[in-house]
Amino acid sequence: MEKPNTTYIDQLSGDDSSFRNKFINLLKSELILEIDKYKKAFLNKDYSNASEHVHRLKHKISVLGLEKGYTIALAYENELKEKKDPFSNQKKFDDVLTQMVEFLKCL
Amino acid sequence: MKCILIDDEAAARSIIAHLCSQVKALHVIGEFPSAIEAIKFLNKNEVDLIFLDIHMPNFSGFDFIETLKDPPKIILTTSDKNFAFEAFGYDCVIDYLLKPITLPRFLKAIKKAGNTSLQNTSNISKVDTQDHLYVNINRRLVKIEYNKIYLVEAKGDYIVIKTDAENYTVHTTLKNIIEKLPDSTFLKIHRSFIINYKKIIDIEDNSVLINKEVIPISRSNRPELMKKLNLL
Repeated sequence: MEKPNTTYIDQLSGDDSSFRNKFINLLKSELILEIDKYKKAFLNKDYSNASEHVHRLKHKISVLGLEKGYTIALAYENELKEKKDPFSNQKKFDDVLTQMVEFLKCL
Repeated sequence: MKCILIDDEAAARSIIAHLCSQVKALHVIGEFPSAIEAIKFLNKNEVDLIFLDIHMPNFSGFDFIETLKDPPKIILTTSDKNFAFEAFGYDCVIDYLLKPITLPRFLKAIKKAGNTSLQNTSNISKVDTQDHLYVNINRRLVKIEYNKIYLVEAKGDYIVIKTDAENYTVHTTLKNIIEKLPDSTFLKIHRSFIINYKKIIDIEDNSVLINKEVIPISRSNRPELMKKLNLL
């Protein structure tokens, strides 16, 4: 299974450690908020809204270098848009999110 | 170059602001989490360049562009490849950056933004008689009379000028040709279409029928079209 990494963040930051720290903190806080909103929308069966949150989360997934995770998110976003309940990609997507949160905790 | 950033995601704005800080010529004068807030700012401030996210809740990047009367240069930023074709239907869109944006790709877009202000070339020339124009097709200047044109359609880097007899594909933009065509006959009714409104057969809510082609009308362009018509 692929693992999150900071390759993109490191390339973006270069020698600017102040930006790097600030950006990682922003990523952590915004990720938690977005996951929360996505889960609430999903529990309320507001799948259209949930797909919007998955769309926003896709960027963070790719920032952390998760290429397969991005593909899962894209497929899941479409399932939600089309309300294809049961959602075959939901568990895989939720696992990606868990992996990201755990990874960011260690930074 | 004064620029603003519009993106509902703070991390995305942070990335673009950081990339802008690497380019001396760029000055970020505003960051907005929604297009609505940016519109308020643009009512009072002029900018040269906008970094615009396409996919935002309630009011998309494309909706935002439609509200601008005289849009500055726009670089679209998105996580989706699917919007690329639609994006280049807008004359003001100079590039399309896929997230996450890298520095080399960002610099390439900025170079384009700098170049476009210098570019003023057109493959269309207007002549004194004002009833026709010449278009450059395969190094030949071809005369087209205005009253023969019923539609001009944007197709990527090209436009197709449609007449009853023939279609002409020209390497230019709708923005260039609309400046050459007389207001008394032609009107842009959608980001991809200019019509000769004297040739309209009928109009439905959001489309016109013109020479057997059904052409969409943008919400923002519809009032202007209705003003031009001789309504009973």
